[in-house]
Amino acid sequence: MSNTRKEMTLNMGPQHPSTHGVLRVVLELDGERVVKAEPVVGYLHTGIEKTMENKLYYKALPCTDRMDYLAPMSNNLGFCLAVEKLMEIEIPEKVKWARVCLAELTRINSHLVWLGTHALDLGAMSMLLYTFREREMILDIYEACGGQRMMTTYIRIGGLAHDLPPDFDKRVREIIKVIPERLVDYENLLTRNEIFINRTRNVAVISAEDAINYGLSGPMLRGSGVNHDLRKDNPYSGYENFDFEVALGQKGDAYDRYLLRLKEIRESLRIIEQAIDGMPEGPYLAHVPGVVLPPKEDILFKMESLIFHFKIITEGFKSPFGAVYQGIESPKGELGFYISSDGSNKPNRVRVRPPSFVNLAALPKLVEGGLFADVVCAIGSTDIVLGEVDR
Amino acid sequence: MADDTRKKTTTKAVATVTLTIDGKSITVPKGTTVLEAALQNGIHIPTFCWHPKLKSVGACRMCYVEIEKMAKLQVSCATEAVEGMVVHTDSDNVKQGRRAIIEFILLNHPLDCPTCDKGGECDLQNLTFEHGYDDSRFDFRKSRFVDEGSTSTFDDVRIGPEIVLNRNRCILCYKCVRANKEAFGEYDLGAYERGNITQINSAPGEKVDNPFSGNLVEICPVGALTNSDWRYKIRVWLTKTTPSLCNFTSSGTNTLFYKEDHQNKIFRTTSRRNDDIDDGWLPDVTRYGYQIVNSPDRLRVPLIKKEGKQVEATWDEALDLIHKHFTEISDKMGSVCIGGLASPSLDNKSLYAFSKFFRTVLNSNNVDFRSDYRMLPPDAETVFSRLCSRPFKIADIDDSDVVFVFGSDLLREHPNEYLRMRKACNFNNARVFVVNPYATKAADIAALEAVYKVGSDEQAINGICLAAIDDNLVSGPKAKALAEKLSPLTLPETSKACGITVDDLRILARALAESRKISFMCGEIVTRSKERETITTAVSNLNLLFGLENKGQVASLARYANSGGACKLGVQPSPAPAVKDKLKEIWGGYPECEPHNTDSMLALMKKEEVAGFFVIGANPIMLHPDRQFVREGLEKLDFLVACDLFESETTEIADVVLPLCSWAEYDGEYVNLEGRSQRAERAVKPMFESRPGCEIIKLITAKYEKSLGEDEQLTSEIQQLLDLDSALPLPTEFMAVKVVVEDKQDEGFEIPLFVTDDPHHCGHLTEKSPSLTSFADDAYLEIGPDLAERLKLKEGDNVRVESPVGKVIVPARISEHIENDVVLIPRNFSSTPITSLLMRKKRIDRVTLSKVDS
Amino acid sequence: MKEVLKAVVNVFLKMPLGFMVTIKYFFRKPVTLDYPHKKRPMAPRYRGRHYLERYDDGTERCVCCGLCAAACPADAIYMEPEENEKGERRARIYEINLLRCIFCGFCEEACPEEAIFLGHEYEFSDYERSSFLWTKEQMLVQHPRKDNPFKRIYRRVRKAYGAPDKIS
Repeated sequence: MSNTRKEMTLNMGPQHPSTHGVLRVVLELDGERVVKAEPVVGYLHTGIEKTMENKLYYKALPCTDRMDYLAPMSNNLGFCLAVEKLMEIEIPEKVKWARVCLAELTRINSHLVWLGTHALDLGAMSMLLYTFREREMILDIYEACGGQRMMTTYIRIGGLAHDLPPDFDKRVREIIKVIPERLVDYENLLTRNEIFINRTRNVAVISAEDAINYGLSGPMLRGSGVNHDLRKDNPYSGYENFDFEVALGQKGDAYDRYLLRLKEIRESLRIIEQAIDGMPEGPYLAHVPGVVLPPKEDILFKMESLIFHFKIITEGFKSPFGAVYQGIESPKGELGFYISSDGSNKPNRVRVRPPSFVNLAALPKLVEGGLFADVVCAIGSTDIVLGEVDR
Repeated sequence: MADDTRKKTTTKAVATVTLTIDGKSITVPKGTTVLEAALQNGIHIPTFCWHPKLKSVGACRMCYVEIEKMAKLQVSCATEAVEGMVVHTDSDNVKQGRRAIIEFILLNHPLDCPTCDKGGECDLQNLTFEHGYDDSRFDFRKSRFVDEGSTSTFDDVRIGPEIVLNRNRCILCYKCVRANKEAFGEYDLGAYERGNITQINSAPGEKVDNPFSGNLVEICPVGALTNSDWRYKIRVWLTKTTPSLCNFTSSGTNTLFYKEDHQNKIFRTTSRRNDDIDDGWLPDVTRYGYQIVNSPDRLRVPLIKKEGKQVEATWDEALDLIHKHFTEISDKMGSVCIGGLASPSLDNKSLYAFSKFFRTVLNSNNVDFRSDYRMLPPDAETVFSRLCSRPFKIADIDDSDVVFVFGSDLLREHPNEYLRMRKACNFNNARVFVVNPYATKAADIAALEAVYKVGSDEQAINGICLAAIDDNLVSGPKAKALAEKLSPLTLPETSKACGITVDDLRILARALAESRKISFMCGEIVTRSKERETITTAVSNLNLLFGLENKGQVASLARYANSGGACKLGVQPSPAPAVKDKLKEIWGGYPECEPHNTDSMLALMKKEEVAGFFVIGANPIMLHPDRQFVREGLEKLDFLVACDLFESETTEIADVVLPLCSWAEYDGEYVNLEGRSQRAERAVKPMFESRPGCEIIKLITAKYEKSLGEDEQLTSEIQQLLDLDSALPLPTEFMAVKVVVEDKQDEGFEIPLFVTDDPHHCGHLTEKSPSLTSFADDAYLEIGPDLAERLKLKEGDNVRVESPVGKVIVPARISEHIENDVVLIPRNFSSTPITSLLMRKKRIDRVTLSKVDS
Repeated sequence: MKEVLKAVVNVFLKMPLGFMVTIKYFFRKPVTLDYPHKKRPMAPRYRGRHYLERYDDGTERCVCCGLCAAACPADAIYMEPEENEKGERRARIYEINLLRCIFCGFCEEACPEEAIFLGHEYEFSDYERSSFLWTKEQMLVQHPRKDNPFKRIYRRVRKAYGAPDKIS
């Protein structure tokens, strides 16, 4: 009895460490060559979109933290911007600047984790330790701001949960100082590392045309040389006030995306520096009666404030009838929130456009025809977070 | 006569005015306020003090509107709509005005939302959220009412058994005081002081304990009035609502249950306004009566008697036992020897299944739902049952110009109709006449309250007829015909016999003759009387003489939640002929054996001719007159099955006890006294192992290997019966009224005793409701001040009440409004067996009273 | 030949560049902590386990208003109020299911009485599921208090009455 089949079907994941979570890829192999790859998702399905439909707007916010848990502030920002657009809330200037600052910190955070894990996948053990060391500085800022290191829920509808911590400025400047130094270390470790280059150059290539056709966004798209960045193309939260460059790749291979992400970290640092220098004074929360909670001091002494507090907590606010879409440039690409409202105090439908999910769809394109070992590199360089893919 | 009709038509064509509100042209009858005009046309204007069923006072000024050509903002609830008025309800001026009013109202409002039970459903919160601003300019210390001697920081004052007042939260809309006065006729709550320190409080030295006091809490727009029932139990947003009905009064008052699913518990009842029935007012017995559903004393599992002791059993065991014993009895003695008694508070399906089970499975006609009536007539076509079946519309009381109450303590028996009567009097200038053997609380609105001698009910009616004949108020032939029938009686004699003066009789006669629309209501004093047939014959004569039915409604009101349904579904031994024919048609047969009602079944039990008895929901020992008689009868039974919510005197001696569901635990339909079928939905899952009546009967039927039919079939059969017009007409000819001389009085027993419901209770179940027992938790002797003085009784003295057959000791309670020598004792408390004083063959129970020295 | 050259370049020029980075850290202080023995201080805003505050005289601040439960996105809080002997509103049952809790801190924000706070403790491991159902007694702070763990929150008593102002 001989096996006449030429291809071998291999099940990668969903518990494989290099799949960054619970991704399962069904591979058909012809020897070492990948003939067909089929990503199977849904192992981390948490029903976040559906859950959000059943929660008051402000209570739906913690759900967003748990989608892309490596970039919680970006998720918060996307959702809050969408709700603010729906409610037509004017945001104080300071909040915009602080949000930009936090969103860029989040980008660095996410890229650092990506760098560490991607390098680890390809055999560079020490990268993980170094990037996590730097990431820790950002997490400390998160903790000082929102009180949690990952599920911050710091950005709120109408502003921020608390004012920025007193030593925010100092800590951020420290990051601005330290990270460029450390980036040099990373480059010394990887950029000219022959092994790394061999594993990434001309691996997981996607052409600009394909990238656009697959609907890719973020570094996956820009790595192929397509200049598309929502921060420039469709500025939100005051990004138009900042001077920065959009990093671009050329070939669209994993190595290009690596360089691009390092560049993005540098550009983010530039934005952060501008934000921290130009941070205006002002309230950290918009004053929108009936939507935003009144200040905590007031609810202890003012009857009106107490009533508004009570009503917002128990019943939330009624949203106007309609639908909004707000996309932001999250570290992984275009993160969009579509909220349709039936006029009640809960969203009628929340739909998230998750960059990881869309980018993951291009995985077969990246790996088919390549070597089996490069699948790991392709998944790593796509930078997916399964929490966001499955939601 | 011709003049009259013309007048009527001119008043009918009401003048209208046309005004513009928010650009919408609106035509309303003259006299409508701007607020009502707006609300009727779907334009919302916020209010605090306005209530649809009360007169407007313009106290809160929240209903500001801008009217063109008027200098300032106007309160719409007190501004009459005038031709050509242009009103804006949403202009910037109005918004600013409202915001200012909210700010003003909140100046002294304490920051109590976290501790206040109204939080989440508070009008003040809602309107502040909608029309106010989330910041305050008031930076001073708020004024505060502190209860002297209180160590609490919460400033709550208990002003009644159930009601807790917090004066700080009050926004002085006066809704509670107005409702108390205008709608309920009670004066135990008032507004005192002036200006900044105005406060609502109970009248000095009084407690707010009137039978409608729960409504004050419900209409309070803030948390100033709260009740113990809902106090600190649960937040309103955690509860869900289920529409339901009152299971105690016969009006079928629409209610709403607030329940929590995880705890499987109902937390409160509020009204679900239905202008045809309840106007949004609930009597306390309706409001707090739901508490029996949650009671921990509920029967949990079936009990069966083993060696003289009741032990817990499974449903299957219990049902097997019932089947075994009932089959034995029918085999030995014939199924005629099995009887059944159902509670008239069960739903249609249970009652119908009950009757169908007895008549088709057991082939017995011994079913009844009346457990507290002495000496019931065996026949269906008596004048009494005709009177009971007459149609009646509660809403028609409103615009009656004469409301005539005969033989009824309306407040205790039919609280909703009592409120309607007050409404008719207060708002529509109706004249109220009350003819009773003792003075009731309706006296203050009555144009005339005639108190007749106890036991001379028919004479009082005859007297009115004779007065009308005497005054030539009725047409000649009618007068002549009736005079013939009543021939030996004369007006002075009758007046003397009934104790109503001739003048009063003339006034009553004139009122009946002159009324254009009348509501004539007979109550329990007629229906419970042994001589009910004689009395109703007199009423029938009265009806014919004045043509009452042609100009209004005459009825003896059904007493319990589904008495009406029980009648229509034929759960009596002898149903109305139409019902009987229909049943025959549906079932294809009908038992021909002799029917026995509760009373005769009990008599037969004593003779051991009824050996098996099935009681569902009822408690004859507690409610049927002559306790000893009932108890002896039931004890002689071979086999007694009792289903109830709680352990009762009846379940104690039963051979099988089955836990029954309350009305809140299953979907059911109930027919109110109007004949209107309404639905009460299931609010909670059945408690413990209890089951609905219908299911119990179906399970027993299944043991007989028979079936009563699927649910749909039962529903359609019930519908056929309900659709049937089974009302019997009142006699069209005058009948002689035999004047009943009261049976010989027992020596020494002189004071007539009336056993009634306490105003806060109904039947035998409500004593399990903690809120209702906080109003009254044990029997008491209600006595007039005169008689009390003669007997040297003071409030609270223990009195030995003795009748020829029994005695009880109860505390005295002096009621100012009772003027004659009558005493009343409530029957709702199992701790005091009042029915043991009664003799079922007597028309009037008489007792002696003596003070018990401690 | 070319390949040999390339390998030589790799081994002697490029790779030491990377090794230099790693070797550099041999001489640096470690950034890690000897965790179970040493603990890092948490940020003042850190959201750890819940505490229920008391007034200075030891009475509970919580009046069981239900706002924390209403604000809780995870429905982790269950409470039942009761009337205490003074006629005041207090919690009879106040439970937080720490297995459901997502430590978002909304309860703290919602509390109008400044009664609930999230403290700095974060080590909750246990062997029993039931031990994660924290009751009021477990969460109430000690009285008298040894130290005030919530320095970040302004701690004032209401000046407008309504809630107790007895300690003003």
